[in-house]
Amino acid sequence: MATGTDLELMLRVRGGDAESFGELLHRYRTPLVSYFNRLLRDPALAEDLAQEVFLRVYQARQRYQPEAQFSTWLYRIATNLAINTIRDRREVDCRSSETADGSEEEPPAAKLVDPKPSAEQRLIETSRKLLIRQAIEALPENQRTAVILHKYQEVDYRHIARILGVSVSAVKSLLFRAYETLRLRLEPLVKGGQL
Amino acid sequence: MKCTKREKLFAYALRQLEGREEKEIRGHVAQCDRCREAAEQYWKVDTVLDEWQALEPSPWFDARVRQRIEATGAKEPLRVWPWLGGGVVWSPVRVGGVVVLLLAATLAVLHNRMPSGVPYDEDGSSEATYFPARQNPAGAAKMRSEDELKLYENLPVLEDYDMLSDFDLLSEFRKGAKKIED
Repeated sequence: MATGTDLELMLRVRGGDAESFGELLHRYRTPLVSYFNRLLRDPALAEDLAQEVFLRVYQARQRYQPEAQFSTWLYRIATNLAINTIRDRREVDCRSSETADGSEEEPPAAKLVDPKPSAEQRLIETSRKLLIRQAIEALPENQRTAVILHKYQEVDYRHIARILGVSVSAVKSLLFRAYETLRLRLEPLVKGGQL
Repeated sequence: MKCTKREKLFAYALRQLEGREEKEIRGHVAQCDRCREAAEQYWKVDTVLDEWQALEPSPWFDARVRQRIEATGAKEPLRVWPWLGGGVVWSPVRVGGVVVLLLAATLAVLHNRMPSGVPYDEDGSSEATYFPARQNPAGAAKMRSEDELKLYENLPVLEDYDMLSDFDLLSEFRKGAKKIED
């Protein structure tokens, strides 16, 4: 198994080292799949997109320049993919909401997947996890992405700023507002009670 | 110390403060119930979010990635002559390009070294060519004169297969013909 920092591995991948690519795959497949699943709430799609990220990394390997941290570059690719997927879905939802007479209904709020999970999903997920998932899902896109990157992908403020293309102070503001909203939505859990 | 802005308490709860600033807030929170409660709420939200666990990829994830790479034809670049060009990776396209250039250069050199005139046969026929054995196999046996040897002296001998196949002619060279100069 190849060893070294992410940067060292990626430079070796640039030189054609398949083993180093395998090590990067090993390090980032779970974080990426989880990242996409939290953003999109679709495990199959999450895997598909995570695979797509690795494919793009491999295809772009010879152009790779170590200007940013490897994980920052990786998550930027992933975030762009996720945003495009979300927007494509939003367009499909808007188009499918047209009524029979051609007029357009009020477009639904930006949603990633059906906010009402099926009965089967309720059986599978605990009510606490469901509440957490829905609370994060309900956040505006940038706040949701910032929370997931910071909380679950353990990306620091500076790199979140580069991934989202905003300033560090904007990231701090996004996270603060997100947590203010989550504090209210998750009140039953935060106050220590069981649902 | 005045009560702290909620943004600062939030940063403190998420351990984003350092040094003197962190110490100041920590001291204030220890003494102010309202600020302590606010910081604790943010800390509890952060803890609750931990309950949403990571999704593990499927066992065939790596294999699928490799399949997709192979499907797009994004193969490993050739590690040809790694000492040439330092960190340059020699992809098949690059190698092919270099080979084509070398061939073109070789052909250009060969073309430039050919004499401009076309020798004629002894009988003056227009069928005489620079490579009489190739164009007139029947007449090859006739060409054993000194003039013919001089003709071949200037040829890039080893590149003329017809000459090499004519071993009789080569024996003439061994008998003391002039050394062929490049």
